[in-house]
Amino acid sequence: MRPFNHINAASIAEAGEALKKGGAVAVAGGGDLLGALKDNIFPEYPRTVVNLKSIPGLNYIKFEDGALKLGALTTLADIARSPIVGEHAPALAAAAKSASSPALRETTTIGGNLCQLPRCWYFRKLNNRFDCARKGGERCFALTGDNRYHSVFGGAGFEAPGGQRACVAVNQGELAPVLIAMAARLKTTTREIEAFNFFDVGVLSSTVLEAGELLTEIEIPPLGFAETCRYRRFAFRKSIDFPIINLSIARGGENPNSPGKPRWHICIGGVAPTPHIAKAAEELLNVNAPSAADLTPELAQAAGVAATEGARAFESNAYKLQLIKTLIKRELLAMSAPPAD
Amino acid sequence: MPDLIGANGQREDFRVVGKPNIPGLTSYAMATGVAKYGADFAVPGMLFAKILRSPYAHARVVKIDAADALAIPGVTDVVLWDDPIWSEIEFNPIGGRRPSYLPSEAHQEGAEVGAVVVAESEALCDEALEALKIEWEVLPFIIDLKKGLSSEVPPIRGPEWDESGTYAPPSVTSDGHTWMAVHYPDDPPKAGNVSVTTKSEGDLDAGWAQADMILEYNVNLHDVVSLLPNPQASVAWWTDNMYKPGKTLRIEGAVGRRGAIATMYRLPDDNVIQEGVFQGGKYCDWGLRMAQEITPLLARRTGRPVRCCNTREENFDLCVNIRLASVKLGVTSEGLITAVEDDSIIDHGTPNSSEMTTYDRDWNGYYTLKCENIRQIYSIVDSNRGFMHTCGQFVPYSWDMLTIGIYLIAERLGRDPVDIARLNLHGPDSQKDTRLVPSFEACVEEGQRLMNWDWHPAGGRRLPDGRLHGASFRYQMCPRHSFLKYFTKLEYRGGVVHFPTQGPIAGWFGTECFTMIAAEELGIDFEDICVDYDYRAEHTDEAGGSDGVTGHGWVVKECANILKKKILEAAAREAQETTSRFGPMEFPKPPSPLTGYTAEELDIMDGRVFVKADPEKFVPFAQATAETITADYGGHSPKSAWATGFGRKLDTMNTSWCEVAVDEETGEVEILKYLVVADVGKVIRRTSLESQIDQVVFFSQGCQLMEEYILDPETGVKLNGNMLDYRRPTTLDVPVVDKEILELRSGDGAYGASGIAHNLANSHLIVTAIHNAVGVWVDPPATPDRVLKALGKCEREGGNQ
Repeated sequence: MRPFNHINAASIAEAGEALKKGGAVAVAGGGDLLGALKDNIFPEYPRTVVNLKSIPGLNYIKFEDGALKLGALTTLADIARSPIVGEHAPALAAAAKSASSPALRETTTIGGNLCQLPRCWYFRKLNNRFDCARKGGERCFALTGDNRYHSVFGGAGFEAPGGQRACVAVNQGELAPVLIAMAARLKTTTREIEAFNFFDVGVLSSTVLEAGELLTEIEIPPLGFAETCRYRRFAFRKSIDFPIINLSIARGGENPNSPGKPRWHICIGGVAPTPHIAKAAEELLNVNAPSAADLTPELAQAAGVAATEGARAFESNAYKLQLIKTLIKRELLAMSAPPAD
Repeated sequence: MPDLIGANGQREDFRVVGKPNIPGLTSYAMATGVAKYGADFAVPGMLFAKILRSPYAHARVVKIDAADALAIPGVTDVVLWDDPIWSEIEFNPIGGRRPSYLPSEAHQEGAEVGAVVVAESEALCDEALEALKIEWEVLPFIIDLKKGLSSEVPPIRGPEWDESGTYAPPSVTSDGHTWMAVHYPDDPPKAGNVSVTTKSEGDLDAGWAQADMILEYNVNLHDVVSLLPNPQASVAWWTDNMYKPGKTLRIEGAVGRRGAIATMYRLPDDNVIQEGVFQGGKYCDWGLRMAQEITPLLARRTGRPVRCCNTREENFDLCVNIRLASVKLGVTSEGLITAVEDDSIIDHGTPNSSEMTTYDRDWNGYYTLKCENIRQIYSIVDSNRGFMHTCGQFVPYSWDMLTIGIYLIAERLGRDPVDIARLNLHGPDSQKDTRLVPSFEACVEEGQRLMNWDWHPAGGRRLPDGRLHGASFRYQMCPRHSFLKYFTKLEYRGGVVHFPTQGPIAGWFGTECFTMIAAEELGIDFEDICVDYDYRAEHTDEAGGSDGVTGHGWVVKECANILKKKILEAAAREAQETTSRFGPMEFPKPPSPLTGYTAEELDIMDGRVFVKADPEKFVPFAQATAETITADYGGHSPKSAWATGFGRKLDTMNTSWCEVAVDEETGEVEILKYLVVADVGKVIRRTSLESQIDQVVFFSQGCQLMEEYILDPETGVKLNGNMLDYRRPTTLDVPVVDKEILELRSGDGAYGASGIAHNLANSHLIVTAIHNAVGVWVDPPATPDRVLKALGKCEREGGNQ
């Protein structure tokens, strides 16, 4: 690791100002950044690292007015073992518990998990070996290289200096699908955004956050999604691994096809540059399964297939479509099953 | 070979050997953090060195302008490949030759090439490397072996990289078998990037004629990495020698036997001090890396201590090369194999990579068959995939060509593969011996019992949860290398037995085993032996293979008996003395309980030297004699069956059994049960033995289920050179290995022990069980994506059923 200036930010304002200056990056738990610094993956080595954990008041879990609220600096371990989260959003606790390793969960935060950079091995190759589109380079190396873990729903186009670029790296964040399925809202220093709209693809960025803008709070509103939400993770290893696919299914809010009934949310991670909403599957269920009791094996299977609608996989990652179909089918069938005594 | 002195196969009662839960000496140091590895050493005032690594799979450094790097404050030196300094050192005797010590041509991404920078910190080294203005000539590379076979691909290696001069001539064993021949005299000269070598025995035509059917199948082995958990590193400095002329080199960070470093720097061994003992757990790999070799040179040049430490990614050397085998078996309608032809494409890797064919072809399962008509054709392809240092772990990976053959015969004939294996296995003495092998039979009996073995054909059983059930079986020999002449010294001093050893300098841990053997023979407790770690000791845990411990243990046993005899002689002698002297004065000595007895009438047991005929007459072992008594023994242990037959003699055997469940919808494979039944001859230290088994099985499970060395097809660059992306399994991913250890005492190490070494490692036991579950082959690693692809469940368009 190279030398850099280190600032322990005392306030959100101080951190924001520091991050607006060139060559500065933010660190909270360090789960993403430290590896990137050690491997020297950035086109320019950061001159300043701004520590956010020194900012007071951003590490909390509270239940207020029916909403679950989490400070952006809350660690994954705290979320996983919180009785409040366990009671009001058990799927979020499960997702937090499945991330990374026990030791890293003690330091890494929900904010960092949502803001992490892509896990693409071309992007992450040490010493900035591949000057890829996500670093402002000309091309996405995974498009023609080894893309077994990459997007099955096409690439994300984005503006970069020099013109339009595309990238097929996926968002593998552990918490994004579950928060989107629960219709979470994210508060930043300047705005409030629906969780789904928080994610974007840009040069050295996976979110819509602008320079100096910080994520401060995650709120899960009382729409019923959190209570029904399920989380399913599929990874090659049981620990210390990012999910190949993770998905969340929840029911809440108002079903447009069945007034008075909740609507379906399905969000899948690891399959697209940003968390993927399985709209066709949601619509199928909204129409045919106003209640979980309406789920039949055939409908669960059809929903799984519908969740892959629009996908065009590479030869090396077509297995992900099979996984999407199977995992959604199985989760739906689990939701339809009567609760165990 | 009979014992010289001590009991071997004859000893029936063991007080120490085989006892469970003997505390570990080295493991205690490792578990408590006392152990220091290469990366742990730091010396005041030291400099840091880093070696330039190639970003290309194959490239040559044409020119380097180091002015900007040298201008960075704190950067003290940049040593280029053409600096005369490199001629000041010899090549390491283990490791092969290059055109120059630091080459200007890199044969894999990440290869050390062109320049070494020296600076006041590692960060400054990184900065200096980045500041080098390098003109690269990027060269064509081969990472696809099948493409590399083509005669149209120009050679990727110039004549300056010719390794033929380093090839050992063929050796012939005492029973007439050729082995260790890299190439045979009739082999054609190398053409392009390919060397072809053929080993043929028996009459293939006759074998095919005897067959009722021909089975043809492919077995693909992928490459996996060694991944030493502790990066190779050293720190070196030079000091004046107080007692003799010339400088003394102090080098820390275990670098194996210091003799290699001494040779490189043209020093007597005594002028090299090395206290570092620990190299970390590793799997074979006898070589050193440049980071361990160059620090003395840079320390001499700069006049300061220099440290060099590889990173994790720089540690990603291969430990198994790709092998793509096409096997053809002639088989009778009863299942007897009559002919074997194995036509394999093999990765030679980068220059000086360990030569896969050497053992692989000469020692494999084929020679455990009654069938004597065997032809092996190896097409060895130069590549830029990676480097494999001198090692032998590919040996077990040559075995499963036969495991799969036996399984396929069983499938074809609707019979149990255990029966097919028994039918084809030759007898204990030779391929013409038709007797059953007792060790094999004992292992199979226990294995079938513990597995509730109930064979079913492929796809024939579904579990209650809907997953498919598969099972598999393999056998192998338990070998013992016994390559080396072993040395041991034991000393009785101040009433305590001292055991000087260099310790686990090569990454093998046998100190406890040796100590237990010495204690057993001396009649004292394990704790009564004081292990002295001393880099000057002749003894080392390195025994030519971890299983060599049992052969080396035989030498320790002999040495302990020499010491015991000398102690008894001294005790008997001193017991006759009636006075003790101080200068001119003499004092009467009280009579000893041993007075009047000869050494032959005495024995040692339970910490006492006693009269055999009257055990109540004794002195404590610590007071046996005031003399300092030394015993040395050096020699070859008995030649093992492995070393004389390479499969044509069978003494100690082992079997492995596996049951899996396969989820057809997700491609997930779960190992339900993994059982090892091994006849190791005699257990020396159970903890060490079980750890060895756990390690090789863990290694095998990782190779077959997860681990894969992935290169970018366009650039040849490693894509997963880190612990996260490489995916070695965690302990949550694989089950605890069930072990049943048999002791038939038929090995020829200490007490009839043999060894385990690599031989429970395998490439296809789990993969075979997967086939038995789903009926299709999945090339390892059988990750869910590969399983789904093999099952035809990989639609590329979404929205389809």
